[in-house]
Amino acid sequence: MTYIVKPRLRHPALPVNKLGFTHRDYEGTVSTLCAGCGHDSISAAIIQACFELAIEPHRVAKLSGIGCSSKTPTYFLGQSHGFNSVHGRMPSVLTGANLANKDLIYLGVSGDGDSASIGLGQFVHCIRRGVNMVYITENNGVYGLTKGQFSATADKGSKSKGGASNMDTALDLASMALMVGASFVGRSFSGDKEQMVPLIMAAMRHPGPAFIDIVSPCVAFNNHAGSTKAYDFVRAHNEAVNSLDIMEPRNPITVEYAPGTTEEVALHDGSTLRLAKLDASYDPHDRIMAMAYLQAKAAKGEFVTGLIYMDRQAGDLHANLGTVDAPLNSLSEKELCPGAKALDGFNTSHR
Amino acid sequence: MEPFHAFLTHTCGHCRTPLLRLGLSENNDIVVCPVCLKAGAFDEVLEEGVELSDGYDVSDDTKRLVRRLWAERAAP
Ligand SMILES: Cc1ncc(C[n+]2csc(CCOP(=O)(O)OP(=O)(O)O)c2C)c(N)n1
Ligand code: SF4
Ligand SMILES: [Mg+2]
Ligand SMILES: [Zn+2]
Repeated sequence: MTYIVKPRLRHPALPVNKLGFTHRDYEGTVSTLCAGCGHDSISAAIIQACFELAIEPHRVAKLSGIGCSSKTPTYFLGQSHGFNSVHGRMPSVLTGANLANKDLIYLGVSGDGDSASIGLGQFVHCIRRGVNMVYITENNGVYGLTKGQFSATADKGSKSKGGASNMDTALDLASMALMVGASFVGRSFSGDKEQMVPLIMAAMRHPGPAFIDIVSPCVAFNNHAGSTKAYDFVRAHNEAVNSLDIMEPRNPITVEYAPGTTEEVALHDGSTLRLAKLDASYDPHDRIMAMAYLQAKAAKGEFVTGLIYMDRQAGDLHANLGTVDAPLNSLSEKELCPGAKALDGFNTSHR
Repeated sequence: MEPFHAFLTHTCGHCRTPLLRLGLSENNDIVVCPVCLKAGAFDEVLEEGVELSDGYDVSDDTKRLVRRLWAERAAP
């Protein structure tokens, strides 16, 4: 979409990952967003996560809707597949792409308007179907691209830049994702890269529908006193339940924690997710508790971040549908059209 | 419409100063370099790669606004 391409100069001393790629190999074109926009920090975290996971860029498909947030896939993973769809319709495009080729890593990037306003139906159905993906909302409580109208995630009573109060009840996307069956739910803040990067890494390795809601202040329209999505407000009310760390099998454990304060979760590619519990009573594998916890903290005006929920036995849409092992787009015509006899047999089995 | 003025991450191709985006009416955003005052239409410059130009029609009022916003930003 955007025209301005970054110069490709490579310093010989730049750090490389195990594939020999530098950060630059995971970047996109120069951002056209406002300086200080939270969305640019999320792009930087995605770049860092993919660099650290040493993902081959051609194995990722980025999908988005419409909004400043949905423009950001242009600014990262410039060598990956990408499709900028229509407003609120990214989830169905992503579902279709995933059905056709399950071998890619699907990264859906959306905004609060794109997912909670116009695209709410798409958001919940994509998650309840169990599509294997990482779905990130860059949540600023407003329609940034169209100049700052309240979105459906704006808190009741929060004030617009012009002083108007939002009188509608806010939707909490993390609570909704838990309710409709996301097997991984995270919440974060664009001002906290240390929290965002391992969350995104863990979500990318999760074999089911992973959702991360990231509050990402809009500096042009929603970063004033009275907004609950402003940098200062989120910093003052952020309550992290845990801190995350991804350990590769080859890396020795270097940080020591007191017994009972950490938990290690094996990820399906052999690495380990280590959770340092900041609230000892919080169990991120208990969905019902997670829902109650978010509501209880929200009622006190606190904004819970961290790994909210993770199902260690997660499955996905392909397992539910019983599709063949090979990606559907790799099947030949002969396999897809096995002939009249096979079709008759299939029809008979459904009578 | 809320008043909309924001400095961008993107910089002027001539002097490397962060560009200023100005929302002058509902569908008419321009980008201006606050230092050399070259300007262009937001979408054309950022999406299509059109160069900022001296000849782009920017009123004196707008130029004063640009100078003021730049001075406010540059102030400690
Ligand atoms: C079908 C349709 N309706 C309305 C619009 C106008 N529109 C463009 S972006 C947007 C809201 C984007 O908000 P959000 O997803 O929160 O993104 P942000 O810009 O805040 O990152 C709207 C309503 C559109 N492009 N298409
Ligand atoms: S209008 Fe808001 S959301 Fe859009 S780029 Fe500017 S700061 Fe970011
Ligand atoms: Mg938004
Ligand atoms: Zn200039």
